[in-house]
Amino acid sequence: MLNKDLMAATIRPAVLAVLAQRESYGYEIIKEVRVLSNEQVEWAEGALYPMLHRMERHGLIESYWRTADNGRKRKYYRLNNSGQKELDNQKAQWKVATALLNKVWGPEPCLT
Amino acid sequence: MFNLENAIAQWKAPFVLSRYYSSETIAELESHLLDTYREFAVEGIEREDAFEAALQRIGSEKVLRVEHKKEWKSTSLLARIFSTYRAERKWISSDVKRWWYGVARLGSLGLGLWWLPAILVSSVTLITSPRNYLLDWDQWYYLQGSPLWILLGFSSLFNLIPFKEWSRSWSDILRVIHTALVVGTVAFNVRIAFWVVIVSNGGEAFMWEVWLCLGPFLWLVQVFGKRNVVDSDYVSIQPGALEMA
Repeated sequence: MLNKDLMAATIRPAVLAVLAQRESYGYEIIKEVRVLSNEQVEWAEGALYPMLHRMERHGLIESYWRTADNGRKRKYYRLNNSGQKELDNQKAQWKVATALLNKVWGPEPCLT
Repeated sequence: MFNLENAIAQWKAPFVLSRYYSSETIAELESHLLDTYREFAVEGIEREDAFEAALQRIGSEKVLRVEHKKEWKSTSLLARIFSTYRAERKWISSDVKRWWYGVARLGSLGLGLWWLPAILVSSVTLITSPRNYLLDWDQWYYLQGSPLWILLGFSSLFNLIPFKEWSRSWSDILRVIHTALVVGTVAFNVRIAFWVVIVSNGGEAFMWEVWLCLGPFLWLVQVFGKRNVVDSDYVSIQPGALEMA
């Protein structure tokens, strides 16, 4: 399970990456992140929304309300060009960080 | 017997009454809660247990407040002030006529915004240049009036500050003292010189006393007029929300 600090750092690029694949709403985003992390990301899901609102305020994503076939209204988010650039930037930074840690820690021991 | 509508209303109440959540954010959270509830309900979990599990997953208002408060603080000052007064209004019981509370609040804001700077400027001038005030008047006049001066300053401040639920905090204790002082002052004035005040001052002093009373009045309405947190108007389940439940 990820600790609080690591999760805070990871969740933002993860959400951007999910939105880069397709537009989505809060519940679906969380569900996807949970599945992709093998249930390792556990948090108060309602805390996702301030982050989405912040990203929207910073111009990285856009939102709109859509009514589903059953009449349920959901707020959808989609990535825009600034968000895509931010995601690319985050990817580049994480690559540097993971490459560094891989070098420091060395390859995983393999017995086979 | 578990009632989903009531359960949602209970869960939603603290969000509705808080200044940190816009109606749009609450709608998003409610939609998320229903989606999670349906996820558990479809798995065959009992309705009440499914709702409890969904609550656990989304987080209580107390847990979510930390992040939502950060986001609220980063919005503009005007938006924060507006959301604070909007939340204050929601505390009022629906039994209380909302329009006269609105009038009292607008009056207290207008008078508070007018008098607080005036009293501050006058106080600074009085302290720094007392001669300006003592040329034509007996110096004891202002000294005798200083408690009222302080009371007026406090009233201006309290008339501006929006109230929250009675929480026995230091600000509530200050308000209790302030209310007692205001009621005492007004009662004393009414007893000895009600007609004199109205006639000799052309109603000005009377208006001051009305203004003094506005802050405590609004506060007392807040404390004693608190609404039932499961009022039916908190329930806004969207059409089709319960179809799969």
